[in-house]
Amino acid sequence: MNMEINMINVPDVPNIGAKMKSGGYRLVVITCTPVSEGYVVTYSFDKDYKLQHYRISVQDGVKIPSIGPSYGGAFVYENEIHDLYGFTFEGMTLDFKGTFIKTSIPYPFKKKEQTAPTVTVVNKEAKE
Amino acid sequence: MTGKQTIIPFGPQHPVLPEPIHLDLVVEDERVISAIPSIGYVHRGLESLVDRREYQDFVYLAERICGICSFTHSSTFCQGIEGMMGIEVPPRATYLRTMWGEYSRIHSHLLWLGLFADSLGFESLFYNAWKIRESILNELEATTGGRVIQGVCKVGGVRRDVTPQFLSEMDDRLDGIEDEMKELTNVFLNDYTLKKRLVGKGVLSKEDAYILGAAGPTARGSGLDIDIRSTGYLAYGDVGFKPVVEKDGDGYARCAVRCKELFQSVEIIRRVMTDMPSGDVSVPVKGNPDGEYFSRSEQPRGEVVHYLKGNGTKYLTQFRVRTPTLTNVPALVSIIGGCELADVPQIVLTIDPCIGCMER
Repeated sequence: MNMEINMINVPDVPNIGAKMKSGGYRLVVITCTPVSEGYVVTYSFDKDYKLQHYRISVQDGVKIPSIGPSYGGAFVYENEIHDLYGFTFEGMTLDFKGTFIKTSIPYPFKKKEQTAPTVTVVNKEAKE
Repeated sequence: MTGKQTIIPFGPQHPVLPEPIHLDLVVEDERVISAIPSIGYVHRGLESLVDRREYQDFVYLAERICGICSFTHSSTFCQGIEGMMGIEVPPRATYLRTMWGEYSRIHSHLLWLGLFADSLGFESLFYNAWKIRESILNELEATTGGRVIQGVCKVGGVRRDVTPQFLSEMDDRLDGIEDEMKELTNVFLNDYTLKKRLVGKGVLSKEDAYILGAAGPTARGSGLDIDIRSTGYLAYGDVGFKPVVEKDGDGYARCAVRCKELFQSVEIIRRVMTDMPSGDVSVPVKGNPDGEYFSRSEQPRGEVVHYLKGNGTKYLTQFRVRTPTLTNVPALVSIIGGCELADVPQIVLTIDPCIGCMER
C-alpha cells in the first residue's frame, strides 16, 4: 500500500485534479484529518490499483478550491467535509450549503476550542 | 409536455427503501429532469469514537458500521492496523477471512435480490432469496458464532478456527445452496417482467462510472474492471480471481453482476477450503500503531476504504471510512436524470444502497 503523500499548496488543488484526470486516475476518497496545527485534507487517486495521495494543510476559515470540474463525484466528499468540519469548497458541482449531512450540532468533527482552565493559578509575585 | 417543473420528494421513508435517504426529484410531466440527494438521517459519528476506545476493542465498533458488510468492515480495519504495525497474519487466518468475506458477499447479494423482488411485488421470489440466505447465515453462525455480527476478526488474525471435518461437510452443503441459487437467478435473469423493469433502465456509461467514482457491481455493470480483490489481498492472490463484468450499464447489467458473483463466491469458498493451509489462526500483538494507513477491501457493494492514523498510543487519533454507497451516490444522481418517475424506486435499488454503512 503506497503511503507516500505529496504535500501541495491549496491553490494547486484544481491543477492536481485536472492532471490526475488526464492521467487516467480515479478519485478514491478525500479525507480531512485534524492535526496539531489546523487540519490536513488528503486527496487519494487510484490507477491500476496503486494509490497516489496529495495533501494540503489548512487552517480554519481557509476556502478550498473544488476538484469538481475534473471529478464530478467529488461533491459528496467536499459537502461532507463542509458539513462535518466546516470548510468551504469553492466551485463545487453540487453545493448543498450545509444540508448534505444533517447533524444535530453544526460541524461536529471540528476541533473543539481550548476550554478555559477551571482553576486560575496565580503566581507568588502577582499575589504580593 | 407541459414544460412545467415540479419537485417531488422521494424518501427518506419509502416502501422500497430499507434505510432512509432523501431525493428531491425535479420532474417535468412523468420524466425526471434531475435528482438532488440528501443524507444524514442515520449519521452516528462512529468514526469520532476512535480516540475513546482502544484500537483492539475498536474492531467491534468498526464491525457495527454496517449490519450487512459487518465482517468486511472488521477485516478491513484489522488489515489497516496490521499494515501500520507490520504484523504478518498467519496464512490460515487470511484464508478464513477470505471465506467469511465471500459468505458475507453471498448473503448481501441474496438480501438485495430479495429486496428487489419485493419492490416489484414478487413476494414468493423475495421469500425464496431470503430462504437461501438463511442457509448462508447458518454457515456463518456455525463457523463464527454470529449471524449478522460475527466478532471473529481481531488484530493479528481471527478468533476461531474451523475443523477439517466441518469444511468437508460444508462442501456438500454448498452444492445444495448452489442448486437453489441457480433456480433463483434464472428467474432474475430471464423473467419477462423483471427484464422489462431492468433492461435499458438507469443506464450508466463506462466513462461516467469512472469519472463519478462508481464502485462495486455498479461500476462492473458498466464495463469497469474494478475490483479490489484483483490486488490479491488476503488469499485472493493464491486462489485466483477475475472480476465479473457486464457491459450494458443498465439495471439488468448490475443485477447480472450480482447474480454471477454469487457463483463466483461459492467457487472462491471451495478453493479456499481445498487449499486452506494448516497452522495458527492468530499471532500475538505487541505495541501500538504509529503512522497512517489506507486499508482497502472489496465489500459486496464495492471498494471500502478505511483511513487510520495512530500516534504510538493504544488509541488511534483518526479513523475515516469511505463506503461504496457514498461513492455511488453521484452515479445514482446521474442515472436518475432522464428516467421515468415510475422507474425511480427500482433504479435507486439497483445500486444496492446501504445507508447505515454510508453514514457511519
